[in-house]
Amino acid sequence: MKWKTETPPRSAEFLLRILLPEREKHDLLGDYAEYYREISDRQGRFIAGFWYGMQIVIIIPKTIWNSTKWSLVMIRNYLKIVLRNIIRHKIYYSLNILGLGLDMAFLIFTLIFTSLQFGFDGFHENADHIFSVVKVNRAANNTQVHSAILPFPMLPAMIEDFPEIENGTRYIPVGRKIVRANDKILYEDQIRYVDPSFLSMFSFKMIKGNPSTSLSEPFSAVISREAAIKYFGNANPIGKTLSIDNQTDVIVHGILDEPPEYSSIHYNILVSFSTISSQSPEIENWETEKCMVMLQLNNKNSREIFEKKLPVFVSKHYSADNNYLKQLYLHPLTDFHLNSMHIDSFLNCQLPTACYIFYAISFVLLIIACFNFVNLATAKSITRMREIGIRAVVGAKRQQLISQFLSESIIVSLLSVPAAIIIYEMFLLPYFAAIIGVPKDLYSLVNNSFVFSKIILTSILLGVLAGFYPAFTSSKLKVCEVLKNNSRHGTGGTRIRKVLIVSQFVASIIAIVMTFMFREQREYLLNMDLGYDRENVIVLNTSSRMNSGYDIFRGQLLKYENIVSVSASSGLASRWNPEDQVIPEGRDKNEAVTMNTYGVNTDFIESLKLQVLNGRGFSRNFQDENSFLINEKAATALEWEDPIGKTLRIGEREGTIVGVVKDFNIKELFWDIIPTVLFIESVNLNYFYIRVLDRENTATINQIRASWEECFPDYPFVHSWLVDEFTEQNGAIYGIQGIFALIGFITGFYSLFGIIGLSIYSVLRRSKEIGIRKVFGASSARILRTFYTEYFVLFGLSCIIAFPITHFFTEKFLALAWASTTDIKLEVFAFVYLLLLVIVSLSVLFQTLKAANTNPVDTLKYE
Amino acid sequence: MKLLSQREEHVMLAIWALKEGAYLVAIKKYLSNILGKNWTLAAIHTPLRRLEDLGYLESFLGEATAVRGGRAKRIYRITKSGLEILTEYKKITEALWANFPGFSLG
Repeated sequence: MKWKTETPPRSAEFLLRILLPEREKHDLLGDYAEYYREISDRQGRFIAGFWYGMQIVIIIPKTIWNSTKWSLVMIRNYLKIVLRNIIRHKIYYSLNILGLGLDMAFLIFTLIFTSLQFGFDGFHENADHIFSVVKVNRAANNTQVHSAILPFPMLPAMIEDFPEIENGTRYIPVGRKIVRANDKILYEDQIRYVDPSFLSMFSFKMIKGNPSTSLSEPFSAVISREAAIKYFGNANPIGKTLSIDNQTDVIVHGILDEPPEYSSIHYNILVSFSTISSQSPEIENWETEKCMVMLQLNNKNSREIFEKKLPVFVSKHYSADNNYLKQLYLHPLTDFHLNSMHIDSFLNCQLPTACYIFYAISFVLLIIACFNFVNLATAKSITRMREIGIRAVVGAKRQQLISQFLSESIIVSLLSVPAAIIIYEMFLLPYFAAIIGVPKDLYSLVNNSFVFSKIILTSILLGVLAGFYPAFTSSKLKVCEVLKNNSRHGTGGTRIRKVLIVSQFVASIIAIVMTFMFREQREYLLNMDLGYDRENVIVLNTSSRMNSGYDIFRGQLLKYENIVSVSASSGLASRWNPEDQVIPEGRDKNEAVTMNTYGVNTDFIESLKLQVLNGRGFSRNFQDENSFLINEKAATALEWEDPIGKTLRIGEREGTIVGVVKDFNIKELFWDIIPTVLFIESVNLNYFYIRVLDRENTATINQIRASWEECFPDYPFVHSWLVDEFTEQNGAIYGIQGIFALIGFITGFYSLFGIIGLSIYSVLRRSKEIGIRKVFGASSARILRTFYTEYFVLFGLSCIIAFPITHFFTEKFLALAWASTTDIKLEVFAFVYLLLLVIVSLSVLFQTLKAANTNPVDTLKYE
Repeated sequence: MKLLSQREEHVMLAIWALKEGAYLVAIKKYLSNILGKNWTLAAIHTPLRRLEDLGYLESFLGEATAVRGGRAKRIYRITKSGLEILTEYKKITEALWANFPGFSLG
């Protein structure tokens, strides 16, 4: 059997078999094999094998050319057919493209939103090697507290000890201050004290002034463009003076561009750090901690070396027996926004949850879009049976039929890209701008061209995924059955399509019910009894420097009939959440209770109508400087039979409990009520509360203003109503409601589209049945009923399936976002179900009615 | 009439000469012997395809042999129009060569 060893290698032959044209495959393979043997006889197997391999290499370009040429020809044909189909079935295809476009538009938003979130702070040139120093403190109960607030001398000490530091700045965000420029007096929230290197470390654009010198002198400042307009109008602000808190005068040396929307660092006025050092004795003090420390290392790889040396640094500057500071570490700038929740009150960070939620929603929507596509394509294929049959007869292979269907679905999904772009720019972007306040130009596609390649890729993927099932089922059909017009086909497909329709309905029910539940939750929140009365209270912004005039001011106001009570506190009720460790009498530090600690003045309880349950409230008739009030939760947590008369210690402050008030919630509403203690604050009072009898009495505001100007001539008069502050604070739910409404709209759109598709399909499929029923005397109404039964069963099933899922998700979602949630209301379900039922009935009515009214002669004439 | 290239002409003449045994490998061997040039299989196959497309050749599958891995040979045969064009070519070539006496260069 000599020849057997001399056949070409099998793998090579296999390759060649793939590459050779179908027509002459076998005889050519034979020719090659024969010649191979001849060579191997003459020159040996090695040369023969080489020759055989070369043949494969030679044939490759030709094969590629051939196959592309022919498939190009076929694709042109498919394209033509698709375009003809689109023109013939305008409504079907435009709805399909529109539906996909809606989804893709949502995807565009998601992509832009997440890229901005994940790319936060990335615009700084040195972003990858700027870090903030964070310390870990030991706290009560063996917990750890991360904090970025550090002592002043930390930065100079670090620069001395670490050669890796290229630049460093301290960053002190200070609370609200009063700023005066010439004749303007305004409150300013965004004053920051920074070292001169701030301007060179971060890539904020300097509009006027020299970045290297503008902040080097004490009492110099750089302001944002917005601030320049706010304080100086059109005049040139360089060289002008700003007076902060009527105490420190700084001279403007430069103007800085606004920080971009996606910057963690915000500012209106940057004041040179040396301004503080020239005034404050604390500058060398390692005990007081007031500033953030930001470092720019020489490159991003120095981080490890740096952190290795930190323990040595800590032991050098902190005594070994210090019982709070545990360690220091570096926190990268790029993590500031989404990965800083573990650090105490760190800039304006947030959880990345929103990004993941948007990703998840886009994904689900795309899946549903696929379902829809499958649904409609199968429904549509019934009218294309003949085309498929003819193609098969003239020699289309199954593979070719599949690629025809696939290329068709890819073409349609590609067409949805321009639709998506239009929908996004014209509708979605303005909508999102209205409900969650995204800046339009930042989110515009013009500035986010990276999105295009992604959505085109997604649309192709979607086309393949969605075209898969219909392509396989349609190409599987038996040619003769198709051409005989035997309409038994597609019965297997119906079951799958019903499953798809039900899942679409379930998705849309979930989204729509959630939308309405958010509305309910909003109503619930805004009308909730929070233990205090927020109606008819005017809030005035004040400053801790105004204490001297307070009693006169209060005395003047109380003379007016409409004003019932005047009081003050250090934070604003409705968004006030200060926490501290409270040590009860007779217990040690490790048994401290975390409580909300509110610093208020005597009349606060009266102004907000907190209810005293036990003991007494604060009163002018007692010496109350060292008195505490606690709430019911605290009374329970402290486990005393009678808490009144017991003492508590909060930091340096020690006092006696004089009364228990009913639980109240003056925090943002996603916080639950925790044990709370109220103490008398006499220095740091930032808000005045004025309770009036009648809100409509406009004279009152003018009376207050007059007294204000008399008592505090140097301070801006800024007033608002407590209830408005509250509504604004808790109105964010509008945004979520809006997003879910949009999802509800998209999914609802899909399910309706699906059921309309089903109705077209079943009317076609059952046309003969209807004819026969009519011949036997069925009325139109009777036939309508047979059809509707099918849809209602599907719809009912969806309702039943959706109920527990929706119930579960809504409950979880609400509980995640708010401490106190409304009950899931069955009315909402009933309402949504009824609404959908009406819409479903109407949307299938047209097709079904047409079917029920056909003349049986038309459908049965061929029988 | 479509002009033939020289190689196409050679291939057709080889097929004529080989009669029933005219398949790819045989054609290649025949031409290599006479012309003294070792042609590749592809160099023969391309004109075969073209001539068949033009209708001068027809092909059918012949018997299989063990050496071919049990695969059939594709046997080529000259069609009627192929024969016509060969006759035509012979006339033209003879007319062109008529005045060339031939020299003995030895």
